[in-house]
Formats: sequence, C-alpha cells, structure tokens
Amino acid sequence: MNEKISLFKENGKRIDDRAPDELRPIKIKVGVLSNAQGSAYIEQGKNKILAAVYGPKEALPKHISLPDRCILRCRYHMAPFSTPERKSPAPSRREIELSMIIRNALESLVMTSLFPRTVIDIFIEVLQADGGTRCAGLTAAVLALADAGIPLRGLTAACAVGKADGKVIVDLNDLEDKYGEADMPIAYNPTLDGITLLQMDGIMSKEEIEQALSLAITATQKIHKIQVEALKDRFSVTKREV
Amino acid sequence: MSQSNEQQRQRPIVVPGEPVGESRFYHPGMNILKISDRMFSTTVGIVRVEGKRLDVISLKSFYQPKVGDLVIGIVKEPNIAGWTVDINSPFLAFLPLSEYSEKRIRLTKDSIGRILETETVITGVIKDVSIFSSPVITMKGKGLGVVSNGTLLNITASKVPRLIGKKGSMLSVIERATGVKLTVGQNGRIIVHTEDSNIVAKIREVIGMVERESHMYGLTERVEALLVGRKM
Repeated sequence: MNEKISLFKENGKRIDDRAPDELRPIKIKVGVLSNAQGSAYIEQGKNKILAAVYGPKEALPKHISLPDRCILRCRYHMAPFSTPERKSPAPSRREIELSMIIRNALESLVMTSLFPRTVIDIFIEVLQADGGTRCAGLTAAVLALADAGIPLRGLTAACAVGKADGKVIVDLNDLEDKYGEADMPIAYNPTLDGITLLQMDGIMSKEEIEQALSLAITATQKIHKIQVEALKDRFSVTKREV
Repeated sequence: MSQSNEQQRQRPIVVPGEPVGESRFYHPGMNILKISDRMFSTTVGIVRVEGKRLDVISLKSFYQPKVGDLVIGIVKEPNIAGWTVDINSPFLAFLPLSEYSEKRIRLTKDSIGRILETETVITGVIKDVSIFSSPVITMKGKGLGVVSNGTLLNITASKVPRLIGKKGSMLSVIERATGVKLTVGQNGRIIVHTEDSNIVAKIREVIGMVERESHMYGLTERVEALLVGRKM
C-alpha cells in the first residue's frame, strides 16, 4: 500500500483517460427481476450491481414492527466472484457498515409513515466491483424502490469524490480509491436539495472539501438525469411497441 | 405504428421528485409532496387534474384499505377470534367471527379452522381501518361470502378504476364480449366466474393490456378490438 502509483497521465487525464470531473459511463435498467417487487441494474464503469426490493409486508417477528412507520432492512452484499480474489460470502464488517449507511440514506427518502407496522427489504448485490460500489448500489436501490411503487421524496443519486495526486476528482475507480489521498462518498437528493449520505476517508483541506462537494452535487445531478430516463423507459410502452 | 403517433397517444409519465405544479394554482391530492409552494410527485405515475385538485395516479402501487371497499381475500390462518386474511396489501386484514355470517356459530360444535379453511377465497367489504391495528373486513352483505368456483387473476391495485372504466364501461365491454361475469375487488384481485381456459386466457390478455397501457388514450377501443379479434 505504501508504493507510490501515479494516478494521472502526462496529458493531465486520469489512468482511465477521464478528466478529473468526468463520470465513468453509466448504464441503468429498471425492472430486471420478475420475482422482486422492484428491481434495478446498474453498470458504472466496471461496477455491475443488482438491487431488489420486497415489500412493504407484515413485519415479522411482530415485536420489531413500529406503530407509526415501516422499517427498512437493507443488505449490501458482494458476490464471491465480484473481486479479483474470491471474497468470502459471509457478511464482512465493511458490508454490515455499508448496509447500515445505505439504510440510513434511504430512510430520509422513503415515506415510511404511509406503511405503519410493515417492513421493506432492500437487497444490493455487487456482481463486479471496481470502486464506488456503495454509491452505485444506492443509486440502483433508489430506482428499485421507485419501481416497486413505494412513495419517495424524490430520487437520490450518489457519487464518490476524492483526491488523487493533489487534485480533486469525481467518481473514483478501484485504483484511485486504494492509492488516492482521500475518498468522500456523497448521496444527494435534488428535490429536497439535501445530502443524505456523506462519509470521508483520507485528508483534504477545507477548500478541497468545498470544491469536492460542489463537484459531487454536479455529478449526482448528472446521475439523477440518467435515473429519471431509466425509470421513464421502464414504464413507457412506446419502445416496446415500435 | 410510428413512434411519434405512439407518443401522442401516451400520457406523460412523471417520476418521484418531478415537479408537477404549484400550490397557488392547485390543491395537493394523491401521491403529491408539497415543499413550500411547489408540488412534486412521490411515485411513478400520470398527472390528473380535477378542478383545482392535482393527483398523481400511480402506475404501480399497493392497495391501501378504505372503509366500504369490496375486496377479494385469501384466508391465511385462523386464530382465537376469527381469521387473518391476505387482501393483497402491506397489511393483513382480520375477519372476526362475528362478521363471518348472519347465522349463529356454535364453537362447541365446530372449530374456527374448519369453518373457513386456509387458502379459501372470500369476498368481503372493509369495515374498519385504523393505523394501530389490522383492517377489519366483513362477509355480511349481499353477494359476499366464500368463492367456490372461478379463476383468480391479479392487477395492480391502482389500475382497478381503469379496468372498471367510467361508469363500468370497460368491465361491461369485457363481460359482453366474453359472456362471463367478473368480480373486481378494489385490492387488485379479480374473480372470473368460469373455468373455461380459453376465456380466462383472453381475459388475462386484456388485464395485461390494461396494466401496460393504462396511461394511453383509447384503451377501451383497443380492448374491444382485442376481444373481437380486430386489428387496430
């Protein structure tokens, strides 16, 4: 981990030929699983992630239910084949933490008071990982919730920002995540104009954080547009009939 | 059919967070989130304006029980005072013994589990809804009771009004063309009163069409064409 890797090329581009504020190519498809109530699939660069939603349904065992709202249960999981070396399928400390922070980010989005005494299960399955899976997973989970017909306070999009070779960059890939100087995943809801997830790992100055926040909001707004298109595409019959 | 013609026939779809109006012009109705004077959709749906009221009709939603709704339920399990009934909603309903029938039941002679067995299909009416407990249904009333024959089909609950149509127009078109009576529950369950597989397949096709194309104009005409085998 201590070896120094240059994350920028001589022409000023990043190692995958992106500009510092450029996102990786994103492809989203909604409604990919027929057995789930709502589902979505996202490809962001080399990341491949599936999200599925079940519920709202009766909360069992009954003592976990809340009288005034529904409970969200979230499982973020990386498939054993998602990483270059086999990953144990048992939930790791990191996966448990990410499940919790994604659940917290979604709790402000879902109108939980409409379904008291029930539970909504959200599953995020990382099929192939290349950095920024919590953000891509959250982006897909929001679409799976909308696909399931669950009322939401807008669509949240997430993207990581960070610092590599002294420059603030957007949408970090695996190498930039590992060898960069900082990583800051952010989820932003344009409807509420609010941040629902913010973590940070590494060191950045106050000015760099401000710059990173502004870049993250611009990036999440771009992802939000792709989310809206994917969702409308799912429910539009035009393409299917032509 | 060209894509532009299709787009003209299709009502615009809104998604959660999409602005749909301002509160100085409209009153917020179903599936609307009001932030200061702006109104946003909370679900994927189509906008409906009736007078000053603005609603978003969801394209996919759950059945929210309302008092007086006719529902088709499936008995899940008996308990000490009645039965738990699945009404195709996030909430399981409760059918109390006292709401089972006008006749008096002697529990010394019969157990609750034998009066209504699990997986029995029933038609009932929502009698009471509370945020603190399960919705209560009753089987007392004309046309309510145990369904002994027929085929059970499903549709998204928010599309039930579209299946019934204005003053029952769509439903009567289907019933006239197939010669079969349908019981449509507000909870998105439909009983087709026949076991003829050809007719059931036809009606299933019609329901699929209503489910897919509820946000498009001229649906009743297309359903009629499908039932008589005419191309549109």
